[in-house]
Amino acid sequence: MKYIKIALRNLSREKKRSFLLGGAIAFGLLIITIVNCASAGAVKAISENITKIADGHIFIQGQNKLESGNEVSSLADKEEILQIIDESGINVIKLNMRSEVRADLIFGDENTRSAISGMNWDREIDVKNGFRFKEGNLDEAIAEKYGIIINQKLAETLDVHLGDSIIAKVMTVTGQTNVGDFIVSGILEGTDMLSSMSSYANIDYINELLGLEKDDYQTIYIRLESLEVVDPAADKLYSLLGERFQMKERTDNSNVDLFSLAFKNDEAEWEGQRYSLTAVTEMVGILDQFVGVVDAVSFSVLILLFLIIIVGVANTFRMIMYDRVKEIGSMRAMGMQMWGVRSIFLFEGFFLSLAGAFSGIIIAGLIMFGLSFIDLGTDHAGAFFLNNGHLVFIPVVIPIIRNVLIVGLLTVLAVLFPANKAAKLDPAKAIAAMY
Amino acid sequence: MAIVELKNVHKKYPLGKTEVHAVQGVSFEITKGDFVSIAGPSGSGKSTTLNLIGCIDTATEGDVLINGINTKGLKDKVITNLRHDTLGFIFQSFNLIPVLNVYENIEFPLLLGSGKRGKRAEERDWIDHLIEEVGLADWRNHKSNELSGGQRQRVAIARALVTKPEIVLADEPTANLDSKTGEDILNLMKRINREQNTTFIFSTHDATIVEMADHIIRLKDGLIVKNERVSR
Ligand SMILES: Nc1ncnc2c1ncn2[C@@H]1O[C@H](COP(=O)(O)OP(=O)(O)OP(=O)(O)O)[C@@H](O)[C@H]1O
Ligand SMILES: [Mg+2]
Repeated sequence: MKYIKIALRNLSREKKRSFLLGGAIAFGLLIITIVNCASAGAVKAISENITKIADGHIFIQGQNKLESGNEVSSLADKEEILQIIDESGINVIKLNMRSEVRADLIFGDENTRSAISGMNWDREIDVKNGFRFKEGNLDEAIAEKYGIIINQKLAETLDVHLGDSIIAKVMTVTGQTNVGDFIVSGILEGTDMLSSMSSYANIDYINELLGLEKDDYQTIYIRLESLEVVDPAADKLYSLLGERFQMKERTDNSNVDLFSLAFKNDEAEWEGQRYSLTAVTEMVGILDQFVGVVDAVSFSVLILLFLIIIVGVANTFRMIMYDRVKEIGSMRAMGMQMWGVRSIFLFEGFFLSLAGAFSGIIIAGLIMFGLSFIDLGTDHAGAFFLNNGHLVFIPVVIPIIRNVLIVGLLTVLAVLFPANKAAKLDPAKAIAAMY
Repeated sequence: MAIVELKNVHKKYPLGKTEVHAVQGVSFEITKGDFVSIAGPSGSGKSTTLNLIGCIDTATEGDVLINGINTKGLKDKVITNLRHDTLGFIFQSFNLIPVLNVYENIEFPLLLGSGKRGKRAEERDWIDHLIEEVGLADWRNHKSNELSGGQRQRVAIARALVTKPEIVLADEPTANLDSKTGEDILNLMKRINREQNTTFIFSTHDATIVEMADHIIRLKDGLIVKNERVSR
C-alpha cells in the first residue's frame, strides 16, 4: 500500500516523462483497439448489408438438369420444402419467395447484364422501405406491371431515364430464349457494389418471361431473428432437406484457403432435380477469415510497437534509477528492504502502463464514437463495409482485455531489470553518488 | 557494554587494478548516550568508518559489533532490519524524499519496519512532537523543496529519531550549511542527545563543532591518531 502511494507520487513528480511513456503506450492501444473494433464492425456491417439486400438469412434454390444437359432453375417440390421449414422448429421471422433471372438489358446501342429479382411487392416490405429513389417514387414504381426498378449506375450504363422502355433477353426454365419489354419505373440512388447488383420487377411478369406459372417462384428467402442463429438453423434445415432431396454440397468457408477460393471448382456430377441452401453467413465466412488476418497482422504490429515501447520503458527506468540513486540509497539506509525498492519501480511501471492503456482505450472509444457520426455516403464500393454510410465499431471486449494484459505484463517485465538493479544498489555507494 | 565496538577493522576499496586502503585497522568502543565526533582531514576515512558502523558497508577485515551483535556475515534482510530498528541516519545533503511533505518524510521510516506498526494516533503524536522539537511546527505540510537547508536538516534529524533508534549517525551534517545554522543543528542534536539519551555519532572537519563532542575519535590516513573521552 505504502509503496503504491510512493510509486504514484513518483509518477506525478516526473510529469513529462510519465506523459511521454504513458502516451506511447496509450497510442499503441488506441490503434489496436480501433483496428479490432473496426474489423469486427465491418463484418457485422457486411452481414447486415447482405441480409438487407437479400432480405433474408437463408436462401433455398432448385436446379433441374434437362435431357440436353442444360441446367434450369426449378423449385419443383416447393410445397414440401415449405412444409419442412414449417415443421423444422426454426423460428422464421419472414418468408419471401422470388423469381430471379439474369437478363441482357438493351437500350439503343447500350446493353448490359443484370440480375432481375421478381418481387411480390405486397410481401417485400423491408426492401420497399430500403429504396431511395433518384427518379420516380415507390407507389408508381411498383404499380407498373412491366416496370423495372434499376439502380442509378445501371441507368447510367444504359443511359436510360424514367419511362424509357428497355428490352430484356432471358432464358426460360426450359432453356429457350425469350425477349420482353420493361419500362423503367424507378431509378434508385447509390452506385455502391451491393445496390447495383440487382434490379427489381414484378414477380408475375418475371414468371411470364421465365415460362413459369403466375404464382410460382424460384427462391425461398428465410429471415431469422438474428445473424447469431443463422448457422445452426442452416445446418438443421440442410440436413432435414437432405433426408428428402438431392442437395448441392454446401460451401464450407471455415477452413478454405483464402487465396485459392477464386479458383475453386467443386462440382461433382449430378442428375435430375437438386436443391441448394445458402446462408448469409457463408458469404461472410470468408470475411471472418479476413478479419482474422487483419487482427493477426495488427496484433503483430502491436507486439512490435510494444517491443519498441518496452525498450523505451526499460531505458527510461534505467535513467530514473540513476536520477534517484541517492534517494534509493537513503531509503535503503533507513531500513527499506530490497523488495521494497523493487516494488516501487514495478508499481510505477504497472500504473504507468495501466493509465496509458486505459487512456488509449478511452480515447479510442471517443474517436470511434466521433467517426461513427460521419456520413461517408453509400455511392462507392466501400459502402459495403458501412451501415448506411456510417462506420461500424463493435467493442470487442476479450481482445481489448488481452491487449491490456499483454501491455501491463511487458511493461512490468521491462521495468524488472532496472528495478532489480536499483534494489541491488550498494547503499553506501548510492548515498555517496554525486549525480 | 559498549553500544558500538570496532575490532581491528580494515576497509579496502578496489580502484582499477589497485586498491585503496581507506581504513587500516581501527578499534574503538562507543558508550551508550555519548555524543561522539569522528574528526579528521579529507580522505582520512571518516565516512567509511561511519558507513561501517551504520551497516551500509561491510568491513574487509575485523569486526563491527552493534549492541554486542557481530554484524559480520549477516543476511542483507537481517542487516536492513537492524538498520531500521537500531540506527538512524542524517546525511550531509539531507536526502529527503522530494515527493513527500515534512510530516510524511518524518513518518517514512515507520512504514519500513518488519514488525507491526504502533497505534496510528500514538505515531501521529510522536511525529508531531518531533516536528515541534526540531522547530518546524509551521512547516508540517510543506514539501522539502520549499524548505531551507537548515530546515531540511531539521526534518532529517526528526526522521532519524522517529523509530527511536539507539544510535544516530550523521556524516558531515553541517557541511552544506552556513556556520551559524550548522551550530544550531549541532545544538539541536546535542539537546536531543541529552533529553532522550540517544547516542549520536557524527563526522566533521569543523574544529569548533568537534569541541561539542564528549568523545572524539581523530583519524588520519585510515588510522586513529587520537581517541579521547572528555567528561563535561
Ligand atoms: N567507494 C569507494 N571506492 C574507492 N575508494 C573510496 C570509496 N569510498 C572512499 N574511498 C577512498 O577511501 C578513502 C577514505 O574515504 P572517506 O570518504 O572515508 O574519507 P572522509 O574522511 O570521509 O573524507 P571527506 O572528508 O572528504 O568526506 C579516500 O581516499 C577515498 O578516496
Ligand atoms: Mg566523507
